[in-house]
Amino acid sequence: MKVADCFALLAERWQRELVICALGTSSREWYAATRSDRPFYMLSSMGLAPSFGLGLALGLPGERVWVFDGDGGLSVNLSTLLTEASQQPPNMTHFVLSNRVYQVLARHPLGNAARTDYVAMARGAGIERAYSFDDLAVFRREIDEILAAERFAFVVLEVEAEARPIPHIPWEGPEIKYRFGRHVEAQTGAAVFGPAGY
Amino acid sequence: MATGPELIRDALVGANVRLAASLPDDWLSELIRLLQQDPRFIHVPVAREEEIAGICSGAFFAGLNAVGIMGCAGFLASVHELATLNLMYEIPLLLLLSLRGTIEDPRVYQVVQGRVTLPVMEALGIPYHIVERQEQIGVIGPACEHARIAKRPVAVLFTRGILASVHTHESVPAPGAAR
Repeated sequence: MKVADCFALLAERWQRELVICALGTSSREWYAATRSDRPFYMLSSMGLAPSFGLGLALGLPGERVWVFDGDGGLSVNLSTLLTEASQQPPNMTHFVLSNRVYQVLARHPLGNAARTDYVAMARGAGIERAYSFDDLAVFRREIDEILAAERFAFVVLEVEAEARPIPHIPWEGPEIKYRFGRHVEAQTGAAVFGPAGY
Repeated sequence: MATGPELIRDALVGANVRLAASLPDDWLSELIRLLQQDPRFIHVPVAREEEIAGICSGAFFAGLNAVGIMGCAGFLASVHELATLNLMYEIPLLLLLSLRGTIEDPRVYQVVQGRVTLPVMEALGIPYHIVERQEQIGVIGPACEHARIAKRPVAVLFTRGILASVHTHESVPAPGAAR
């Protein structure tokens, strides 16, 4: 599968979900698909996107949270599977783009790339709703039911590494903070920055 | 009379802290136990301290005050995440730490943490406050507010006596007694 096809499919379904994108491929491909400033693009802190999404989902149980993670990011923060399993907020879906390489690092292969089974690891942590897709037609057929279930889900997308140029995110830290935070405030009524703006 | 951990919990409630993410050391376990059993807190036990920066930052965008609780070793392990998430994006974060590696700490493996934690905080530009007496625990509320104003992590570090689960220092073994 191609990331762009998976993301085009998800972008068609994207409504109120609060989106967290990990650094690298996840951020740049989602931005390429949507050109949106509504997500939180995590441009560093490799591995922390699902942790961030977990805090957001626990704090806003009435909103849906999508996390787009990479397999490089998941590998550097595997303990997030244990923490997610212990909480399993029903309003969170953790997607993993599994291309088995560090794509933005000249597609350098991940350690143990040929053998790692992320779904087995998630299930071993206690996450029952763990899925893997390597066929776009099957993903298209099954994703709506997964997303509609309102239960925590871990979804691995086995995708090809990309060689084509992908745009960078045109904002950096504080601007992403305020764009995302203002979006959350407008959509949810949460007081992110407070009456004085900070 | 309330214990230090009870007063810290009460100060967190007073600061409207709603989410706590933690990984214990042997001094913090009583405080974390209190938060775990208190329905006023969403408590997230983590398996690795670096997760705390992410979880608490996500909670900030949910409009919640959050606190990260860990030892100095956990803080040092989290330096990259604190730098590239909280400092780079200017996201506030209240940290509560045990102040390890001082002369009241008998653990040989904490000595280096005691020597480098505060200099690392200073290098990062993370304001900190050391609480040695119970009447200083009230700094937690202002520290939480200062994190929002300064848009960065702010740390409050507690000495061993403060984190003991009883009020007197008599239950704290003398340095060197617990090797």
